[in-house]
Amino acid sequence: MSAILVDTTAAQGLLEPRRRSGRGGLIRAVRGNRKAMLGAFLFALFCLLAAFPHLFVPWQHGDPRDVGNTPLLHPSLKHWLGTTGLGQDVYAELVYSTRESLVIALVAGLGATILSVIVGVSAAYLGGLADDALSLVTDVFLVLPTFPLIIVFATYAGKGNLAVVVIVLIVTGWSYGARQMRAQGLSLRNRDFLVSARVRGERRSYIIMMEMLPTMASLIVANFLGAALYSVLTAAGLQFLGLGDPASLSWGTMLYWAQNQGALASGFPAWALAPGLAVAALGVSFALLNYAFDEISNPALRPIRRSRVKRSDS
Amino acid sequence: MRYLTRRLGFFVLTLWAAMTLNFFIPRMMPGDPVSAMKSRLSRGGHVADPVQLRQVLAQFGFDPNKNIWHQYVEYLRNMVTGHWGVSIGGTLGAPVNKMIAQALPWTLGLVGITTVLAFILGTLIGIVAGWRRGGLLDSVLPPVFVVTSALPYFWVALLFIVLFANGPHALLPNDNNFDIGLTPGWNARFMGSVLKHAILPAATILITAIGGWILTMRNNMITTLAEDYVRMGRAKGLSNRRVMMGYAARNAFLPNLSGFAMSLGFVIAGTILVEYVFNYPGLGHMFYSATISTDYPLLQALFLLVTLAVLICVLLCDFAVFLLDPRARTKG
Amino acid sequence: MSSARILEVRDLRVEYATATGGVCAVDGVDLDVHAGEFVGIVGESGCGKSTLLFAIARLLSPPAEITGGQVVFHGRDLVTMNDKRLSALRWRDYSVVMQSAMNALNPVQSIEQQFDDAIRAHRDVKVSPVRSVEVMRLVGIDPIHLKSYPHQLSGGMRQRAMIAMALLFTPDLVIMDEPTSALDVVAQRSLMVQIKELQRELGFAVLFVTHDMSLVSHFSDQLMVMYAGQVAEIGATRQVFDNPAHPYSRGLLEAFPSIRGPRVELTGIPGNPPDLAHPPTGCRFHPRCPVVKPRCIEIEPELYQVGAASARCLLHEPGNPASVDVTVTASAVKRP
Repeated sequence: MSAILVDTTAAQGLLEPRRRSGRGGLIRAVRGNRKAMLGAFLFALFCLLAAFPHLFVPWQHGDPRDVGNTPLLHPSLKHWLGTTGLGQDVYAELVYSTRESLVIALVAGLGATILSVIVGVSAAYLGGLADDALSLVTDVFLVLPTFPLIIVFATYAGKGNLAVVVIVLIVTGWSYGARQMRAQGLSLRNRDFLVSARVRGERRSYIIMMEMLPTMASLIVANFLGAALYSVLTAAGLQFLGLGDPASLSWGTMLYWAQNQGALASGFPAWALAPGLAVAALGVSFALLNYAFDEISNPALRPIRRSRVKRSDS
Repeated sequence: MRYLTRRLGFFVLTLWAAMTLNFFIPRMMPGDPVSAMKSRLSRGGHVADPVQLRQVLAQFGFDPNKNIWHQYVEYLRNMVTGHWGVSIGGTLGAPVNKMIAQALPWTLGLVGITTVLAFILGTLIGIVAGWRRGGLLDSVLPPVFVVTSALPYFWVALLFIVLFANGPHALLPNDNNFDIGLTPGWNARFMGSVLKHAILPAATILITAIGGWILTMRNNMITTLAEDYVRMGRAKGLSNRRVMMGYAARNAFLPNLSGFAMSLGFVIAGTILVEYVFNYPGLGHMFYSATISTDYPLLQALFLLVTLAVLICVLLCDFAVFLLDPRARTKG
Repeated sequence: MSSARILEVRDLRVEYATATGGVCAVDGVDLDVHAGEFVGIVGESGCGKSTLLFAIARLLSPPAEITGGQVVFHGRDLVTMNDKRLSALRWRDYSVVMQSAMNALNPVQSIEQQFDDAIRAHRDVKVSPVRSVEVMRLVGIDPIHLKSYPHQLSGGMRQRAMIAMALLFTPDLVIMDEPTSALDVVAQRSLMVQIKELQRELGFAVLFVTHDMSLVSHFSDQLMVMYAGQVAEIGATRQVFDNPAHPYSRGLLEAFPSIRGPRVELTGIPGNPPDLAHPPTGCRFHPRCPVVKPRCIEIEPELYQVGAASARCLLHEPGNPASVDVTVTASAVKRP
């Protein structure tokens, strides 16, 4: 969960944005980086699982949450990961849960990123009092302990509302990115290409949308990955504690029921560990992509591959 | 000096914002704390005494007779002076500050120590990893740490339980902070039991947290090592260690320190989850049970305490930056 | 100027290890530096002059590596010397001044602390306890600034503080990498004058890298022009500056207008420096040379003697009839 900290150096490395030679360069760079490939592969896998779950569980008819009549089975050929205390097939539940977890990650991640871009870039561009006010708000949100706040919110707002969870994730997750956006925005403000745009008489909105944002694209993507990671882990944590919708089909809820029914104590580790592993895998895919992104934009961080240079002594 | 006063001002402002949020959230949400408390107090068959209800609620800051502004001021005063009321959850009537005082040392001991340890160890390992480019630490391990730092706290906790603490032949205990039946005391038996119970939760926190620190420090070191002043240090004939620590690490560490302050949110989330899984009676666990039993006074006090702790850490980090970075001292 | 040679560089080769193989940044450079001599090294960006400097000072970092040649300083080869011996030599016998003092001075230490670092690293060398104060006075900075941090000093003061630090042990050689490039024109000149004065007073030799040929030529005894990792021309400054033998040196000089001379059309050197991963065949300068001949594309020229200098140009190959004509006027030069 501290993977988001890697963003600190991402910001440092990306504070000197490089003009990329088209999107082709990025795809090539991703292909050449093993971490990026692994992360991208995992992410693609999860997207597939979310979009077409029935492809992976072809024998499933109806809702995987329907109570079955063979409770608490160990993993077998019929039930790859066993069954839950209510006879539900763990594997099927796992696959079908991908959708909700992925949606939460992407929606909350996107929302938080958009908000952080708006606040951060505005603060950097507007400067003066507006900057001071926005920075203060950002810092306050940054320091407030968000997990307890989320818990309190989720409790008071009625447990289980998915929209509430997503909104709270967005509200608590934007501040980190806003700080980075502001820092980069400030460093860009007086760059020549922006000054020339101002002198040309371009409107402020044009300058922000067409000149600043494309240059900050790499930082924005890094931020999105970090926010998505944060959302996945926090949402799962919330649901695990029982503050999500207990009837929903998601990994965190599966874990909640597993814990609730004492899966570990009764000797059914698969039921408890599998959903957690799925959460971990999705989180890892974001973290890997994020780290690989770091390396791509800051070549100094790449692992050193020394080619043998022969000495020729005269 | 200006720098410090600004940070202090920020401290006070954030604390106030947190307390205000804490006050208004229950009042903004649907449902009514009064009836919730009433139903809680009326459990077990007997009807709640209205006088007792009002007392409890007044301590909670919710006096329906006064207007909202009075309630707010009263609430602020109570929070600041430590009048945190009594619990209305599972431990009905227990004074909140006593409950907190009991759980606090356990959390401080477990979480406080392991977090600081993870930070220090992670930073040191990161320094070496960044310094020895091309070594084992630098080329093979970073991806490993990327993975470990993205793992959810509760999953690692569960994994450890499965591996080490499950079933009758378990190596280690999987819940509570010391063996049931032992009386607390400064003796070897008790201490030993405490340690045994702390190993798995501590390992969970350590393993999940250390990866991130190693990576950030390593990346910072690599960026710093390219600086001219590091080369200058070598040019002066200084020993490798001196250049690595005094020139490279000293500078690379500064952004890490600010990062530590920002990471405290995760530490708190981790605390709650780990204490929950291991049934460890610290503040995190208390927070969880307070939430489940809608124990408003306890919740509010805990939230305030956590905010205070985070802000104190932030202030300490700011102070450390002030000491270590001469540029912060003069810019103000 | 004594003629004792303190530094002899022979056939120095530096390569950068890349994923696709080694790129040669310094290709067989020879250089002699005598006691008290001021040697200027000029060239375009990317010609390898800074790499050469750091190679000589043994300050290269991966992926750059010395892959051949010798750097003999006071009779001992620095390339093969072990780290312990090298550390003892550093700063005591030769020191380094870098381009931007803002980046070259440790931001978290005061000036005094950085001086003390060097002094304490060489406990075997006897220095006066007030040495730091002495060197600050030498460069004209009030010693009260010893307590200051780098960001508190002005650009010019920082640069002079760096020079003061370089003189802590009164080394025999001071290696300077573009120390004036970050300064304005007026500060540049005053710094050069000061360096020259210190040189006269303390007797150290200077290796001075810059892209500003006209600046360094007023102060240097020897001038080396680098191109594409090789020495294009090297010799007594007066000759190289007044009668450049290599078409590249000539191009460099003609890029700077003379304030007092007749008005001439400013000519640059067309084209770009070559890609060192795939240098041109034959003479590396031939794609941009105004007097290129067919032979230049095939044959790699050596350094040929031309009066008090040598130039890497087939024009001066012994036996070449054209080698007699060294001074070619601008109007007679063909443009490709």
